[in-house]
Amino acid sequence: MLSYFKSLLFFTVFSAQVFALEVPSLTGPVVDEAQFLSRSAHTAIESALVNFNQTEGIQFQVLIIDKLVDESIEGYSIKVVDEWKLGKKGDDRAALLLISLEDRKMRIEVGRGLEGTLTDLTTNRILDEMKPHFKAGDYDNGVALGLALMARADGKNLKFGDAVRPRHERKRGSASLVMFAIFGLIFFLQFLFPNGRGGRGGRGGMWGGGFGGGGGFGGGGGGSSWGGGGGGFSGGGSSGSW
Amino acid sequence: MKYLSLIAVLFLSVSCGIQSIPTALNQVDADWAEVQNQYKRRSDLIPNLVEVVKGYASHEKETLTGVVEARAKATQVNFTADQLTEENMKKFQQAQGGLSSALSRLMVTVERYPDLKANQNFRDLQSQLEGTENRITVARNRYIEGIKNFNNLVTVPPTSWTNSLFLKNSKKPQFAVENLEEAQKAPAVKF
Repeated sequence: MLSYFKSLLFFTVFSAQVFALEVPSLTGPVVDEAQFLSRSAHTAIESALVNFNQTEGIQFQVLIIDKLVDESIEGYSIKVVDEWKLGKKGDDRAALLLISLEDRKMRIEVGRGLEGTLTDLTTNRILDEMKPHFKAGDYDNGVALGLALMARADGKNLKFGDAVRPRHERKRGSASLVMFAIFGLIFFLQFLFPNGRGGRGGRGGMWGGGFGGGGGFGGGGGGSSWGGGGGGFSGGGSSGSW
Repeated sequence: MKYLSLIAVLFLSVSCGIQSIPTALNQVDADWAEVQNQYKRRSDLIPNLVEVVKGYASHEKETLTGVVEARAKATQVNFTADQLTEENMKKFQQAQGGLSSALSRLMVTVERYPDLKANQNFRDLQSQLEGTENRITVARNRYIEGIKNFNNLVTVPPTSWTNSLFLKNSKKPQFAVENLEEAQKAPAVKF
């Protein structure tokens, strides 16, 4: 509700350019200015996203900032994708997961090529699924779950290394389709990695602990090979807070 | 002759606008089409929204009719990019602005109906509406940028000379901030 007003307000008052927080340089699939993710998660997610981009041609990007400056998350987000130009030109299959730590806000910005499958509604639900993780301070799994669901929405599987297993917490009576997708995903992941810890155990420990660098994964995506390809965005996606 | 060739050389070496002005004009057309597209998207969502709200808050007749009427008005006001005179632009903005404020009145009313707010259908529509408002913002900003670029080309030398000699385009009206007072009042609504 509030965000509806905010977007309305934003669209009426701040339609002129606001010069606020600068867009950081695109160094890799995960740009974490706020040290939000653990190192192992960072590495695992980066290599997963590089791999996903190579195999499926879909560029997912994570950007985590400390806080927004005089700007709505929607405004900042479109500024970022306009500068980074994620996705290939004309194909435009890309999405940005933007998280602002101090504001406790997040947004999924969807490229034109994914708007058909990653609708505003879908992204809104994905953010809803991520919220409980963020609320509990389990940022690694929250981000991983979000990305996995984004891939799921487009009928793809986003595979993280052994170290990463987005776990889902049940929410009361939410949309059955999304639930189905998530259970499918959990089943799939457990099928893939049967010897890991079961999804029902205590929280935490999913990432850290014994898994140093994320199994066999090395340094993740090299900065040099990662960049935008001129993809277009037109404001699709959804915002939320936790 | 010498004079002519000088002009020719000048035109070849300097960015003269013979290409960039029509390109900018096409960009403005495309940007405007996108603005209309997104407003259309919003107006397409409204009948469903009204239906859902009616189911829970049927006696909020006034607010609901307000939205329906504003929507009808807004869909009637349509201009192509080259019809956009200062006056038409004002009409367009007034119509869409009317719909925006009717919608926000509706959303305030909805706050009094917890059952409606919990309705999945309504929540879905609400998030779609939010998404569309954002798309409108983006489309408008791009249009504003496009117009700025075009107006610069037709008013700032040297491209403006090409324009006044050959192309004869006139400056295009810019989007203005509408209902500023109303927009500033909006945050007074606390939830």
